[in-house]
Amino acid sequence: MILQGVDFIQIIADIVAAILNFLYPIVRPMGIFMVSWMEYVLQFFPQNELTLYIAIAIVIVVLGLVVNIAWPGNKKPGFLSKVEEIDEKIEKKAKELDKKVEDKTKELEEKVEEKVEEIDAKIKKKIKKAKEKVKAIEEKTEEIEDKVEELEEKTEELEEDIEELEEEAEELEEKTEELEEDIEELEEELEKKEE
Amino acid sequence: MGRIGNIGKGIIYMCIYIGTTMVIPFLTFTWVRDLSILGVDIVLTQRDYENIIFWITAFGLLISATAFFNYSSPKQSIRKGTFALVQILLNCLYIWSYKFSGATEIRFEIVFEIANIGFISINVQNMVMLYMGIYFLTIILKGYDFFDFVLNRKKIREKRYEIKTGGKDL
Repeated sequence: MILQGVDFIQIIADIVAAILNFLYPIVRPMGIFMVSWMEYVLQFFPQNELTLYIAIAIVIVVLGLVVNIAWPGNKKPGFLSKVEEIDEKIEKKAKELDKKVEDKTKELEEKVEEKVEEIDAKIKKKIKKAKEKVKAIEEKTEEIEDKVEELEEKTEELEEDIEELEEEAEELEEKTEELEEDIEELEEELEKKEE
Repeated sequence: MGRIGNIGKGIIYMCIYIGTTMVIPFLTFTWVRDLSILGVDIVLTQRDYENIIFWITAFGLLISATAFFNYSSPKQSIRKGTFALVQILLNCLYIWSYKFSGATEIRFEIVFEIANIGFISINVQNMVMLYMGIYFLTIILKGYDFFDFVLNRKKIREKRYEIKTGGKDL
């Protein structure tokens, strides 16, 4: 039983030795440096004065208590609280501005709607007037067209009359020429007779 | 975490450190002091025992007190970084005090009935050296943390309090 225990300890010792041998060249220089400063520092630690260490420990614990009660670390630092205050002010102002903008937009929308309605009403009135005018113009144009047609007919008739009259005038001219010739002949006959 | 939470956390860690740096080593050395194997008493000399117990108690007290300060401080605070560094340095001194007090070369006297028939000496200096090397790396790490907390204090605080009002410190 004891031998088994010794073997087990031997295995552990071998493993530890292997680890030590592997890390030895890397860690030993660090260890030497540590030892050098610690040996120096330990000179200042008094021996066989346990009350001093107890006093130091009590002071550290009390200090820790006081510090953690005074500054538990859950209060925001000054610069962050100022930032927050500024943020809150900005948010408030932004909200106020948003409200103002909303109110003004509402007012403007209402005004725009009113104006739109007024303009619509005016447009409708103008459209009505325009339609009435168009109707009147159409009626007048129709009347004028009728009159034009009548006048055209009349002009056609007049033209025909003129043509007839011209023909008649031509005939009369021919007749007057003939009559003038007859008169000339008669005058010549008269002259001859007088002679 | 508020005041009570911080202090409670500090007390818990202080108790753990009292246990690991004072009570357990004290009991171990007291047990080893009067070790008897197969009727052969292996006795730790009185002077060595007293020396070891003194340094264990002295540094154990300091380490436990700094552990209280360290673990009760808000996360990533400068005071936490400071006391974490101090705690590591004290830990180094605590470990080294074993050698200073003779614990790296523990001498057991073998007493059979009344006669002193020799002694066993365990040299754990290399082990302590290895520990010191590891602690050196830990000191570098804690030193880096400390400078990080100091230099990036504003950023850390902004980050701590950006989650919600009241902050969060663990």
